[in-house]
Amino acid sequence: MSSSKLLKGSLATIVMRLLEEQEQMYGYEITQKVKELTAGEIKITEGALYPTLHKLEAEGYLTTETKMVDNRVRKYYALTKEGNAEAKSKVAELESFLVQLQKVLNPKPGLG
Amino acid sequence: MIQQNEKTQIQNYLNRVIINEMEFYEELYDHIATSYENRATENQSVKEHIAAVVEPDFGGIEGIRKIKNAHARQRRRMITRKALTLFTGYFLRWPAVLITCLLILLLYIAQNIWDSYQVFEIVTILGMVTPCIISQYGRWKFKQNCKKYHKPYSFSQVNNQVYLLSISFIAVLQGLLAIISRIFSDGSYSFLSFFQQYPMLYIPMGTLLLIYGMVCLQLFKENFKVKLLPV
Repeated sequence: MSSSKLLKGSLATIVMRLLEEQEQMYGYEITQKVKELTAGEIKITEGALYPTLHKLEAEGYLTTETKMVDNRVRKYYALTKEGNAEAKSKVAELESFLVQLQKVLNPKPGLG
Repeated sequence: MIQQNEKTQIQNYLNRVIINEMEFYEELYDHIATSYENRATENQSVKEHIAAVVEPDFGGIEGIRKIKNAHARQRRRMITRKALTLFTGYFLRWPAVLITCLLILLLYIAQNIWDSYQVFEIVTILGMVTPCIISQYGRWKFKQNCKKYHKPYSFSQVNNQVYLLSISFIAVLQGLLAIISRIFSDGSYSFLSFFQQYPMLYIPMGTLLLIYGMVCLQLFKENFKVKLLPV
């Protein structure tokens, strides 16, 4: 399934939602988590993920922490206080959009 | 865990792509190394893994360079915004505004005790020159540490941006105005001589300079804490 175009507008929401659940994650972990949750149906490319992470960090929605793992530096992303509020708002917005989209894709026949 | 020769191959690849700044280098290095450790086939080499998995996911070498450049732009904006927030905070936020009041009071007292122009000269040095020297030292120290720990990069994007901010006031107040002055009045311009004509500006300008210096030092303190570990 080619989902990259559909994903483009909602990537930030997906990232923020995952970070809401996991507290902190690193780039590779995010790509694998999405793959795992969707049984490989949705694949986030690194070419899209990293600019999104960096943008969210610059906007103050994410904070970073570096840790030493296997003798190399690993950069973990976590939601800030503003990021938490933004995540909730973005998820609600996406859910509402999906409900509306569903109505357009599967219109129910009118009762009268 | 990956072996030393595999680490070297990843480092060589990153050098080829020209990732010469610490922030993105470390993130990308960890990404490639983790991806390689979790490769589907055990006998796949680093080179093969990069060509088959990493590069297509990043949009090739060009894609990696684009991410690197975008990352640098975001960092620049982030630090500039942080500097502006800190600076305006000294005028708008409690209790930082108390420091501003205290500086004005101290400058007022100092100018009444000593020669007001000399006080202004000292304030200029403290506010404009000291952050430049300290941040330049920070950059030099970082470069030395990179050499010491055999790091393939030699600078940090964040450190460079803090340095740029610390020299920007001098660049504008002295450099830019000197150029403008040469173009329009054919005369030489000196920041200090110019302000010597307006003693009533000593306290407001001195306060601004000191706050600017403090902001630079705050940014320096927050951002130069870069831990480097041996490869």
